[in-house]
Amino acid sequence: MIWLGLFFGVAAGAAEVAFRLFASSVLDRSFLKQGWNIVWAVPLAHLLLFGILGLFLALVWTRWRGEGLFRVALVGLVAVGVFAVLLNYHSLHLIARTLLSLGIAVQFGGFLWRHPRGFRRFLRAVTLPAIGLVAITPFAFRAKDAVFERRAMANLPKARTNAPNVLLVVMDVVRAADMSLYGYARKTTPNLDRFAEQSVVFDNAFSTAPWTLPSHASMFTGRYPHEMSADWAEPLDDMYPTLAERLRDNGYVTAGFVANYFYGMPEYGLNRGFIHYESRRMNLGSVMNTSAFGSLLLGRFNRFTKSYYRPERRRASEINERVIHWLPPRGTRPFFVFVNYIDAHLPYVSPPPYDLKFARTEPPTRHNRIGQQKTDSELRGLHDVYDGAIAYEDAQLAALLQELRRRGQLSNTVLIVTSDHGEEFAEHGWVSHGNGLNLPALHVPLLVSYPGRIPAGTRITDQITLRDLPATVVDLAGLRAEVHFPGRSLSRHWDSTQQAMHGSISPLLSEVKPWKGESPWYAGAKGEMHSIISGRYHYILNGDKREELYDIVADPWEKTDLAKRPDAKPVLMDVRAALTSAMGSGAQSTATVGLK
Amino acid sequence: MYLGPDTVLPFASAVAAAAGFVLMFWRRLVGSVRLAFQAVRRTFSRIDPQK
Repeated sequence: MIWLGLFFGVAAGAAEVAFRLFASSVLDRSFLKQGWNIVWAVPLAHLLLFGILGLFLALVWTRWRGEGLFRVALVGLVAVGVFAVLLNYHSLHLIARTLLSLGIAVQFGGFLWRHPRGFRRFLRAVTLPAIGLVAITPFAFRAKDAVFERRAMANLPKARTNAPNVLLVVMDVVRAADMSLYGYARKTTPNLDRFAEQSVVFDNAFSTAPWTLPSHASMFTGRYPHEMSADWAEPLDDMYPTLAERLRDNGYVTAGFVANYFYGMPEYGLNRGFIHYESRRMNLGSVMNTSAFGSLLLGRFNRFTKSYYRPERRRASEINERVIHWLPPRGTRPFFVFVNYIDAHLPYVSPPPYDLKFARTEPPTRHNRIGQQKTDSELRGLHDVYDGAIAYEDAQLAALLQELRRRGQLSNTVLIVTSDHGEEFAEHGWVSHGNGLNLPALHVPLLVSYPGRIPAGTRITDQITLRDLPATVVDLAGLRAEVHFPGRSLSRHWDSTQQAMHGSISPLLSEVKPWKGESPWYAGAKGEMHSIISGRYHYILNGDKREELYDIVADPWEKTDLAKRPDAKPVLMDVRAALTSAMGSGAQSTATVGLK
Repeated sequence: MYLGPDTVLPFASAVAAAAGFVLMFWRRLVGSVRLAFQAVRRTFSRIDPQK
């Protein structure tokens, strides 16, 4: 019975892999989410699930041995296997999926029942070699990565003498408004508040997109979202060079440690240029979760136990451990390390004491799904645990910096701390991000530190866009002559020689495209949105061409739309022109892409 | 015409459910059809067109 279970595990795993390869190449022509790891992870998940089923059947078999039971077991295992594969085809109702699985199981199980000899021979010939193949493949994948890393390290050119290290820390989903660094009443970022005394702090930094992939892509390429491929179901392609590629080409050893387990996956393209890259955690739970059936069971488990377990999700402490384990010794080569923390992302789950640091009791929920509206008490609870998660990330960031200081590596490191976007807490209806372009989702923290090279304890009130980050990094790394990125270095805010240099200021342009599963009452559901910040005004052009205009100085939460007011007409004309110009300037600048 | 998962779902589900039902009871369905066919044939063979 156990072998029977394992055989159907192998068969269901192979069928699911085949279906997903077929779907990605023929049905929806999408790319393989979770990459080629599915060729071993999905069969391994099925082997585990069906192995447990086989074990259970074997126990039953010891008590009620008989033809009838064997026949039921055969049909049952086929039915579960077919159901598991059909879960990958989302356009089927649960009842239809169950009926079809049972129908196929009755026919196929009956066929196997009528051909016992051939079936037994096939089972013996296939099961053991297939299990061996599934066991070996992950090691082969790991060996391939190790060979790639070794070759890339061997081929690195010599770095510039005294080139500084670069550490980019992205606190995913952390909005500036919820940080004590920016005057928030709760002490969410005590460590960053102190670190600000050694840094330049930008009070008005804005992301180019309200969600992870395009925002990170902008930080890596200096491009606006409309110039790039990065979208909900489309990875960042290799049209534009990334910061990691250019630093690697100039002798930097590059590594990414990314807790965002979905859009941070290598398949979405943010890994380009990193010699070493780690994103989703691979353990038993995440292997199970790669299969549709395992994912369904995990969802049911979470619902039943009221937990928020995501096996792929790494806490900031684990990310720190990985970074410290990997860091090259001082004085060898300069490094570029990209760190992404995701603890402040829905569901807002951080370890004690941070999980309830700002909440008296466990909140009604720590999660919100697309389209859900929350009661006031649920909103308050969500906001409390979100703030706790920010405090956790702040503490972990301090621990990472402390370790770098202990190793003597911080003094020669350009450190940038920011976020890819903010979060909405029903200020405009919805909880989450990626659904609109209002300020809570765009206003992000930004600290830059480079001991002895940039003025410590400086606060910059000028408005800037994260699009300027790659230009800033190459400038601070002393590579301005070798590498060019669109945008202008932020050092113009403290360096008088930079201020004198000509060049236009990057427009504060932000964009978002609709997600196909968007709830119709979200702003983003009406189509592609664009927004521009021009002085004290924030102009939003919705997908249905409806305009919004906010005075973000007088109304930072954007509660009063000025677009319909007669006295707003001159401002509207200005901001419309600014948006048109920004969209055009992006397109023009593509002509100079990749010159260096 | 828009053909997305939401528009395909009811149609695909109906077809899949019907297919599943037919596969589950294939033998009985075939047997019933055969019996019905034989019954009709017997009825018609009793009626002699010459009479």
